[in-house]
Amino acid sequence: MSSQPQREMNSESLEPRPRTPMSDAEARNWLQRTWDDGKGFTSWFQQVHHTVIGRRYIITAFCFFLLGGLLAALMRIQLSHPENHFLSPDFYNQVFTMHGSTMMFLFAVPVMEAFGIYMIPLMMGTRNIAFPRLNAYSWYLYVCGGIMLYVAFVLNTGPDVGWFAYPPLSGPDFSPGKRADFWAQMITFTEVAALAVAVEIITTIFKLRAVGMSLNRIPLFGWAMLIHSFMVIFAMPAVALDSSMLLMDRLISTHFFNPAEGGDALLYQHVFWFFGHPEVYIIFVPAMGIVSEIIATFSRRPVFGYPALVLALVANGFVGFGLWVHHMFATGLPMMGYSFFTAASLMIAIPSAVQIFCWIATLWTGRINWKTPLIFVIGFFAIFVLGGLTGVMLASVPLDTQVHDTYFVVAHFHYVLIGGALFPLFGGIYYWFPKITGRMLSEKLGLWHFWLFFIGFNLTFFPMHILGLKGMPRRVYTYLPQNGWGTMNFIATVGALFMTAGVLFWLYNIWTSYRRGPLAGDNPWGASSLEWATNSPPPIYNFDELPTVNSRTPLWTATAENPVIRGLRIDDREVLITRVLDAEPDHINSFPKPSPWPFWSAMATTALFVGSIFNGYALYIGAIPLAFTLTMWFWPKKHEIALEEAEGVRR
Amino acid sequence: MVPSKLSLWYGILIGAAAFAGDQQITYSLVPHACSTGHFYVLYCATGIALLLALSGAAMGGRNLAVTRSASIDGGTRADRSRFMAILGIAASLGFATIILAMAVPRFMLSPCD
Repeated sequence: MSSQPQREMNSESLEPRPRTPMSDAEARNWLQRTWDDGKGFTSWFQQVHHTVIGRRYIITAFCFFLLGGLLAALMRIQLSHPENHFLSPDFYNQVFTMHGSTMMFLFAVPVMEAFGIYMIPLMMGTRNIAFPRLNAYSWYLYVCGGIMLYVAFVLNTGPDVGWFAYPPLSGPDFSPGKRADFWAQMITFTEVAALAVAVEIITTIFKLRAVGMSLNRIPLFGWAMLIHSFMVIFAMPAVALDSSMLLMDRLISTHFFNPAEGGDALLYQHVFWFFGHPEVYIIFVPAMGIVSEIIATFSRRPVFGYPALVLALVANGFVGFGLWVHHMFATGLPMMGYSFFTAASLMIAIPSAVQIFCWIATLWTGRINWKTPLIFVIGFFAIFVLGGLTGVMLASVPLDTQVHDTYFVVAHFHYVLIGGALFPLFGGIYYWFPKITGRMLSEKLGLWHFWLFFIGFNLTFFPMHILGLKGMPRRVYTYLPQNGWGTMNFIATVGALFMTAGVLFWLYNIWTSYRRGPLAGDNPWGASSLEWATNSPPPIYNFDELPTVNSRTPLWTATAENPVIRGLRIDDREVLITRVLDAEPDHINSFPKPSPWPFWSAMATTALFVGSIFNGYALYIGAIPLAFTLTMWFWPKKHEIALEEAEGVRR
Repeated sequence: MVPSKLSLWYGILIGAAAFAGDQQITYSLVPHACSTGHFYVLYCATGIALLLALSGAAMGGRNLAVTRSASIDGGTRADRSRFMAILGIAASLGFATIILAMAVPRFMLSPCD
């Protein structure tokens, strides 16, 4: 943003609502022309508005969710009875690796960021996300990484080393060929994309908030996305480094993880889980934000214990980084290591419990409006608390050692991730679908979706606890009848069928409601945050006039005399920059226009990343088009120079 | 009067920093302690971390007293400062508890096993 023209702004620019230099319709036309990203084939590759990119992110992430779910269904069919040969062992290895990698890297993190991209600028009361071109670039990169992985899979080169790809299994000796390389490079793609989005969201929340939205008035989803983004910035480089070191071991014969040459295989696990455990909270924390928004809206009261909820999110963010070794209890650690990480792993339950109690108190003291978003949140309570309890059990070294790498762990993390993230996410979709599309989802189909998914989920994953306690290891291709695991596995497969049916109801609901659902209006739920202060779907400029806020629940306390922001040009993409702590007006910044160069830069990056899997020289050769496209991206345009000169004269 | 931003951020962040520092430093000092028998370095590191976390709570308490007349959901600087002061106290005390929880096993287990 700093490279863009800036103008001074002060609190005198806050003016009472009645006074417009031109008619509202005329002003809206101007804004539409100024902020429109264009239509048509070539414009599609140039669009940079957060609602456009956010929609693409959401749709892409759910496409990967469906693919990951399909892979899960294949696994459940394979395991439905003993000595099944529905899939070959080699293909099964690819399927479970692709399932885990898809869900963790191509769905769970991107979908949370997707909702952040779409909702945060609206919630903050601004016209676009910070660094909009970077936002577009991140989406292209994310899509290319996902496509690369699935093309490899279709060509029977899908990774087959598990979603965390431990060496030495994933090293050059035990995984010849290109399968693990594609996995490692997919990590690079998705991590670069995630880091870019994290930077955008932090900047948007810190610098683009509506006037009056001081730190103590940021919506809880905003806080959650802020914590999430900081966690991404601290955690993701670790896994990008880890996967790059693995690639170097495989491609240019370094020995980072080769003990025979002085490397250390456990180093990989430490670095991976330094990312991997915070990853759970990276996924979970935005979901907590969604839960807080839904509960406040459907209890029709401000959320109980706002400071405690903020503190719990902050504590999750910090303590989440102090637990990674509990994934490595079975590797043989000093007793001190066990004690440290057991203590921290137990303590992380406290902030989560604080949040649950605050939400219960909100519901208890509110006037509940039973709608599908809230019902998904209630489902989340039940499932997440069970997942949290098994998490506390797994923090205990003796139990962890006993059930390590069994289906007990599989059950635990699905309870945490599906219960803790997917249920709130589904609730969030029912909640925000009217804002994004302008139409309501069907409540009846929503209930079908909820019950089928809820029952199916518990049928699928609860028996896995028992399977794990009976000793069934995870990732086994098949098992013998005399193991006694057949019945529980069959029940789990039936549960997966229920879940699939639930998802089909959901897709049908989206399809029919998008086409002919009842019109939503601006604020169908009577919610309090700023995304509901504009049309549904929002115009490309988000708000006719930039809003100001006078409380934590601005739409519930708004008056006709609420000031609005004046002084922004409507013939240029100007936004108001505010101060970090108190959101006081600081200056005006002109945002970039659509550009094809983020797309071309992403293509050049993709060529470099994919090429380097096959030949190290691709790094040198690929750097040339990448440098060219980035240069073109950042090259000052004539209108920007003219604007800057004009502003210089005005100053 | 409004507390300084530095003191407010100190209250919020020092507990977390002390927790992270204690975990990393103590863990990396174990080989040294076991090879030399100087176990006091472990206690010193934890003691310092605990004091730092508690200093955050004290700072938060001071900031809270300064903003006694403010409200935590208001729109003024004093209101926002009071909110940050409360966050600081709670965060610092919470992290001090975690530091203590991590230290307790050290009295019962030998770090060298």
